[in-house]
Amino acid sequence: MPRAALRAAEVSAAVLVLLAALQWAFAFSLFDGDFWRAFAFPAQGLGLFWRGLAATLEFTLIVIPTGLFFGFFWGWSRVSKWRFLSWPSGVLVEFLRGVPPLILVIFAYFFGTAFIPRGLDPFAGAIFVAAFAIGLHTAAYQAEIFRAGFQSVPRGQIEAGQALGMTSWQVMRQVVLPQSMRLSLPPLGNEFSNVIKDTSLLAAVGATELFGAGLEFSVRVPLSGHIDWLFLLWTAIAAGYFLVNFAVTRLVRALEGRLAVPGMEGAAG
Amino acid sequence: MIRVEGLHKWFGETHVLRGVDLEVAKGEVVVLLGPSGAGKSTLLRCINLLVEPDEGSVFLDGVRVNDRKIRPEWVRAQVGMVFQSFNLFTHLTALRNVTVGLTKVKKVGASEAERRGRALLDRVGLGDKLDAYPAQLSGGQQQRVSIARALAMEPKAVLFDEPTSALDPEYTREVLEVMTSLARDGMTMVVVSHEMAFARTVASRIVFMAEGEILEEGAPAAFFEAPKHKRTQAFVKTILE
Repeated sequence: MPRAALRAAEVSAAVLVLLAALQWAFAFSLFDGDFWRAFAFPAQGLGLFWRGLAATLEFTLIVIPTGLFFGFFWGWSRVSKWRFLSWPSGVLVEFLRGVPPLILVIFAYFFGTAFIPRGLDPFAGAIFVAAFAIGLHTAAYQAEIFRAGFQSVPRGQIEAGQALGMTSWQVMRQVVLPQSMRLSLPPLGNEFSNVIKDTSLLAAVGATELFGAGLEFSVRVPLSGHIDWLFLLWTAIAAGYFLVNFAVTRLVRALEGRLAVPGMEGAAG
Repeated sequence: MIRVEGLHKWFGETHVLRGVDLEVAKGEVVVLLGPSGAGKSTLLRCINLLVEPDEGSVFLDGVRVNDRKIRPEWVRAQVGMVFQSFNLFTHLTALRNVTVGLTKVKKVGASEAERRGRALLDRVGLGDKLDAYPAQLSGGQQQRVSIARALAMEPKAVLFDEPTSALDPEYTREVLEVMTSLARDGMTMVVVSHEMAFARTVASRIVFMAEGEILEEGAPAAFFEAPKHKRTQAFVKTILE
């Protein structure tokens, strides 16, 4: 119990320090009634926020699985003994890591029309393709994370799987993947966290995700005469990104716990 | 059961196996002796195709297995292997190490696999370590689990690649006891080892290799007491000193 009390005290102290810092930095008083009146956020603004949050979640759910899928296979093919697999994925990874994701987004939006899934309207479809491009960008980073993980599994572990009669896919699934994931998960969590924030680049091609929604609303603010709404607005947007991030990193942490091996805490391999 | 004919293997420029012929009958325990670099481990690995032979043939029950039409997995599922460094799957418990081949390769049901896994771990004296992970076991215990893992596949033969070289004398003894009882039960075994006492008492035949060739083979008594080849005489002399 004293531990919980200590923790509560820590958190309260941190919140107070943070509030004081914000007040000092932004030079407005939290005890000012006008500031709190800003909470009378127009209903349409709030609606825009929820729409933005939903879109960010949606893009996250496109980008992370895309990244994992291609990252896994590129990472795997880079350690392949067959050069016709390892070479092209090496080139792709180098290319995708070397180009700013913003440029990829713009290219995909304007020139990716051939890849628009049927049934989507051209505008939403082009944004979908742009999100897919961000997925490929993070896939390149994830490929390197997977490759490092695969290469950390000792040769003897693979031979033991082969000696039992496992196929190369079974060796991957039963031996290499579970062992390499212990090493790969923390950097993967890092990469997820990066790419969630990278979805904000989609605002550049007109997506109304959190950042896009913020932009859209903030152009209306000067007309309203409530300049202090801007502070609330961007705080809310930042909190939105934080929430999505936090949910994903917690999930990764939970997976890490499940892959922990007794007797090997803190040990490599 | 296992027949090797005219086997050659090159690693780059090095000619590791220079025309090896070997026949192992059912129930036989063949111990491969020889100086390091003789090609003993490579020969063993050619039998279960962990190393692909460059020339020559490996037969398992009359079927030529180093053939494009034969899947290496099919061969390996029938021939067990025990490694010098155990190579237990570090992320699985002792029991799961033993059962993973059954459930994933042989597609045996989970409860049946567990029943057999428990029985095998009992047999190697580790019935109380089912849920331990490799990192929680001693070297000798790990090697016994790995023998149980190889046996779980009900192999036609088991290959042992220096199974006690990484162990303290005390652990070596417990592993050799398990191997001896396995030999008594009629398991076909090909063993690369430097354990002379085991070779003398358990082997049905000693095969002596040097520089990629088999120089001499014979019953243990004849091999140790009256070696014919000059290299063998020198080898026996050094180990008896």
